[in-house]
Amino acid sequence: MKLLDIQHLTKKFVVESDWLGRPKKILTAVHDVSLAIEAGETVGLVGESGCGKSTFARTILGLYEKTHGTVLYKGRNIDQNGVHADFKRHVQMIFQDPYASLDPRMTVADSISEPLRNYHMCANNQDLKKRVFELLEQVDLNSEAAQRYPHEFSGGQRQRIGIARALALNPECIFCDEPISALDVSVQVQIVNMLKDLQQRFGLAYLFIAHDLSMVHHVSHRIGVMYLGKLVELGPGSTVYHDPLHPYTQSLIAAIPKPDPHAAPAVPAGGEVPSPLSLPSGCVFHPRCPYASELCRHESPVWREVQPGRFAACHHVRGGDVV
Amino acid sequence: MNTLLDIQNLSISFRTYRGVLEAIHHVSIVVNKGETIGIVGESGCGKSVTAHAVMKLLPKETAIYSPDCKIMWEGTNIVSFTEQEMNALRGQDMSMVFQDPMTALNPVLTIGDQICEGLVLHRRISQQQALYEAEKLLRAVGITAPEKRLHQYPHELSGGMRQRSLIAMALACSPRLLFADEPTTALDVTTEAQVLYLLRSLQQKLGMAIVLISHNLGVIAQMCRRVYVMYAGCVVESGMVEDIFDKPAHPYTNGLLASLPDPEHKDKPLQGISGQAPDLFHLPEGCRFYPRCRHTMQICMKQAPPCYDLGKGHQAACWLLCPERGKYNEIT
Repeated sequence: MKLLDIQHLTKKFVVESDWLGRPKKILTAVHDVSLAIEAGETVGLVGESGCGKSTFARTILGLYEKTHGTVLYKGRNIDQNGVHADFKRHVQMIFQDPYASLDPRMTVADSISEPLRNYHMCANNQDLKKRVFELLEQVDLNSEAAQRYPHEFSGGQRQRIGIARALALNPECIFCDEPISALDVSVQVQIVNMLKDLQQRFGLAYLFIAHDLSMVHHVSHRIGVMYLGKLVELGPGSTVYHDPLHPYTQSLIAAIPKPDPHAAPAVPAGGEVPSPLSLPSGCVFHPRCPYASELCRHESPVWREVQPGRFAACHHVRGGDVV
Repeated sequence: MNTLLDIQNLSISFRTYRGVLEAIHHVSIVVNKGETIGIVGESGCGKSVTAHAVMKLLPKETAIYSPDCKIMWEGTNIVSFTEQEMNALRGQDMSMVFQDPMTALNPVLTIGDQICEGLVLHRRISQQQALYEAEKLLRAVGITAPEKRLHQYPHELSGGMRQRSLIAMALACSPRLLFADEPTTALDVTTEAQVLYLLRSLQQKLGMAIVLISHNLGVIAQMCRRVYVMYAGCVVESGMVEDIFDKPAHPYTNGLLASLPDPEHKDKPLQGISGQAPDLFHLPEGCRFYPRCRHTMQICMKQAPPCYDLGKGHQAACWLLCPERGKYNEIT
């Protein structure tokens, strides 16, 4: 059974309302996105800033109220009584900024034990202390760290504390929202390797959100690509990376500067991301797309399975090719 | 003479409330005319301090230049230059593109006004003429409808356009040396590729030298001819870009390269570097990298390694390269 099945999730924000409070300007941050996550699987989500990948994760978790759509947790709708509490406990999140996501006035032990207290996971203080030390050990921090405050740690260590906090309730799935983009290259590797280890040990599923495609490719089983609030492509990690179908994915991958001085320089795609407040007609990518035709200008492409296990939303993708 | 900028033994210390802190230590960098060099390293390694020190943009009250350092700009030592003399150089001969385009631009002035400032100051032309020049510059950096953008404020532009405006501003007086301090770090990959492409084509057109500071090895590999790798305030390895990427000699450079995922071998675990960069107040004795190094030897903990020459300008500071290395036993 699918661990998480997100169906037609839409999130709209009211940017401006008139004097009666009626919405005047609406921003659709996430538009009709469906995605399923299996147990023990890593799904990578990439896209440029403002494409709605973080909003998507936060909306699933209920940090934003969703506008439409359903989220099924093990086949049960999380809006039902009783399911939501279960869902909240088993799906946790790691945030991008390790400096902002920890309370500066709480010791590391306090931060990590807060979820344990909330869910009455430990019978007494002795147990609680033991569990905190165990969690710290799982993220390779020593037990001295427990009594210290976040400002005494480097970015990488803070991210470890965030991970320990997310692990506290024995989750089944962790949403990682740009967990490494604020870190140095060598520290990024430490965190990524640790996340992979934890996945093997506890059978965790990850929704791994990042803009660094090569790192996402390294960690993910499947990759989803978002553009202006819509999912444009989804498929097995290596196929999406090595043989992208959607023209947007192609331009995204062509733009990565390769760490090889003999490689040809990255080819820039033309144009800029349009404002999400005034989306282009038809396919949202058509003003930047080299394949754009009359059809693309008028009609929005449907999300369909183009090959077994590969999905794309593009008029020009037929079979395994763009024509 | 082909050398444009020759930095010799530059050490910069800062007076802080915890005492004097040496941010960069004996850094020597040469920039030839029309050449792109890269400075790569992780945060806090002193890349930006080096650039700011050459431009003399460090706070005068706290930054101390070491007495034996030299910054030779076309044969003249500019360390002792007064603020007035530097003003004539900055913007005119050397300029800088900063990392964060939002904080580098003045939010209360239009883009046009900000570009014109340098033109009016250095070229002594009227505001009218300067505006005309500014429009040409904006067009050259690939901004559409420049006549409209001139009168807009920074918040009205996207991140990519702000970075382009900053580049236009830096290029206003056709400098001979451009410091690009993480010019694409705040941008998305597609915009990054556009900005890098722009820098490359402008360089070909104008023949200026670029010092590109970045932590992104991909950006460095694509843009630079020569590379300096910095760690904890020191240059640990330098050489032609091919040498650095194909046969890195310093374990730190090696570790950086091993930290990058290889798209062809997805299942290969990433090597990376253990530990974290040292606190500059508590630098390890001997080689600054030894606590994180895989090949630490006895001598590494006692004495800082000298710079070894590997031919073709490839240099690295590591005891592993010492010809009498057999004398030092390896403890790993």
